[in-house]
Amino acid sequence: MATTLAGALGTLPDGVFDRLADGYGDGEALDLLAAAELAVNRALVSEILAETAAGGELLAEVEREAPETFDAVLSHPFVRAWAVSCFDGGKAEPDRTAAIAAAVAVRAGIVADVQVHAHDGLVHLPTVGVFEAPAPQVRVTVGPSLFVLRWPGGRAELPATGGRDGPGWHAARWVTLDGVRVQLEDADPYREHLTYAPAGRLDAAAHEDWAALLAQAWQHIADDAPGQLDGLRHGLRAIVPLAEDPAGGLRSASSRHAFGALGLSRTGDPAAAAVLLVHEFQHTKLSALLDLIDLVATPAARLPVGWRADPRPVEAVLQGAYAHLAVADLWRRRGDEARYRRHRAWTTEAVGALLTGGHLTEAGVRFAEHMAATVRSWP
Amino acid sequence: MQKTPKPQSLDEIRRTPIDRIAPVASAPILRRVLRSGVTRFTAAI
Repeated sequence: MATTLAGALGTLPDGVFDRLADGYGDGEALDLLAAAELAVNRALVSEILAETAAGGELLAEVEREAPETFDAVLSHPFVRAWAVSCFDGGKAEPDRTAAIAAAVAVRAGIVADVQVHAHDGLVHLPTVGVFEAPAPQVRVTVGPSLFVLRWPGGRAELPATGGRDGPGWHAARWVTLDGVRVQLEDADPYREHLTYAPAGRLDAAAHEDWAALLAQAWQHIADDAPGQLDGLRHGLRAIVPLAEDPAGGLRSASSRHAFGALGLSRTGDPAAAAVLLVHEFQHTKLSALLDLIDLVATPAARLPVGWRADPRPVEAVLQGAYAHLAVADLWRRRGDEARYRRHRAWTTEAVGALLTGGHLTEAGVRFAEHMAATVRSWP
Repeated sequence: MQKTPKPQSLDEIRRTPIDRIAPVASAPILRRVLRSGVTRFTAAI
């Protein structure tokens, strides 16, 4: 009989937990993590609805009428980043609930009429697009073949689903990778929650460049990290173009508060991009798991690591080891002996430190032991 | 608006309409999310 591992917010089947702990995680595992992250977003948005009337009734209505579209919009990675900022002393913009409701209505073609506040001169409808608002508030009117924005003294009629650019309107950018639609997130204001500054909005040429880069990077992942591919198909939601490093290096980032979003700076080297995507996807998986189940027993402790000079918090050590494990496997498959040995050593040392200091919970020990077993299985 | 009584898990929250999720269910999730340890990652983690 299948058993489950219970955590503070939910459970995972043992087999799913162990497959993630091995360093991979298939589509089933990512579907479960994504479902849990969606539930977290629902809980956070429901908390915000207790504090604002903006769009609340419409949000409930569009959930009833188009539950799949509602889930798709609420699953957008930066919904959580926004929600958290409403509570943690960051930007408090609870009225963005109206924009979320409007986004669902536009995508599903539901009849709606809702007032949406502009922030920093922009009305952003997650997963749909962003409008340079000429007024502090814009009325969004939606119908099956209608999408109109109105403000005192003006109006803009947009394509029904908002899918093409128009005057003042920047439609959401998407790419299709291996049959999976992934957003190229170049407009959400909360994408700044990633460590590095985001790149600006993408014009048509930049959109094409990114699509080509990601298609090639995906092929490299298929060749060199095939164990990650199924998880990526089910868990990757958005790629955030990051501003380029003035020093010429490549940048990548992810956030505990943005499940499925991977930040990446543009590069002409898709093989290098593949390494960074695999690295960051490890973080997004482990972050979602940590939402459900505590793995760290001594969060205040710091441990030395091979990849940085300064001791790191235990959770960062676990995150780093998990990322380096997947990257070691990629270099092993690519036949780059030096890089493989380096990442393998970092992983082995970090897992050893985690397991010997009483720094992990019982579930954390199980997780780290699976990681260690994966590394031992390599030549 | 009537609230559902005490959903206990993310599974139940997933099944509860957004305007009927009780604070008793959502507040513990909010607390846990806000006390998250490391929240931002780069390749230099």
